Amino acid sequence: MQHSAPDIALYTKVLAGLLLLTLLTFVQPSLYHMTPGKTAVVQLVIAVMKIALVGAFYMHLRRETAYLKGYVLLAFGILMIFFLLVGTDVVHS
Amino acid sequence: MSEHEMAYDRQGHPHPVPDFHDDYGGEKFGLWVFLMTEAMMFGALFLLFFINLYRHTGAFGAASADLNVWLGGTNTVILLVSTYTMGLATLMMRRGRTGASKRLLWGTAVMAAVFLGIKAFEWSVDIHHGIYPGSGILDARDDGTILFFGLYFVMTGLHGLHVIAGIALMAWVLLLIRSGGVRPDHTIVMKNVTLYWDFVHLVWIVLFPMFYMIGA
Repeated sequence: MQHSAPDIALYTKVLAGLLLLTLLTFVQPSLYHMTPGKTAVVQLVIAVMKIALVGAFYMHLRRETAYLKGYVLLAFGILMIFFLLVGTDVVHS
Repeated sequence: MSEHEMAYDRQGHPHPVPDFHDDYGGEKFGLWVFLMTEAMMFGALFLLFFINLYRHTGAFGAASADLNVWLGGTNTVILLVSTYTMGLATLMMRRGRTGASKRLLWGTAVMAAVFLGIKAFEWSVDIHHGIYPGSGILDARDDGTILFFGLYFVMTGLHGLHVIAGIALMAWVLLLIRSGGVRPDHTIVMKNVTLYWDFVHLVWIVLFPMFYMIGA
């Protein structure tokens, strides 16, 4: 039981961080009124920060083996290449 | 040793496998492989969304403003807190606090059901106003709006199916806890269901701002 407090405390701190970022998601369009395209970019940046927190702490990726981390990075890398190739084609067509 | 199944290396030397059903690393890696296939599926849909956002930016912004930010936001907080309670449920199980773990699991399942209820209410309001794929009212609007709502129903619908699957998995874990299949020294199924639920949350983290906030 001695080890339970830090883990729960960490989970709760991450929850607080995620709630703050969610609040930022809500108020961003009111604070900085931008075009839908620019709003989407800013909102995506906030979403990536939230994904990093959930992935690292709730899905425990920061403590995983290099093998598993590499696999996840490889999968997202392939997805990003896919995004880049199709996105470049869409922008220049 | 005789009851162990054997695995053989390249030289043909036998190695006893203590328990194929307790391969922690293998079961976890298997779940991650599944999650990455899910990421590819949702990734393709997000790519489709971004292409059409680029081509119909104004229409997407205007259509997004038609969605109820407060209902979507409430669902965002519900899913976020449910991820926290699901993680805590697994932590409690690992520490032998089975009762607390079951209560947290129940709480997570109830929050998932509330999420679905709110989503169903949102859909029913949209459908009542004639906003659904193939409706005459929606088809009379511009291409960007038709695409936005088409993607909205497909992507939130697919996500909703994952939430339903999540509730079913939580119910299964509760049954396993009762039967002893999940216990403090054997939590891999529960951990994998927690990972799955985290992934369902990750998808919503991107879905919510893209559909609800770009026109806010």
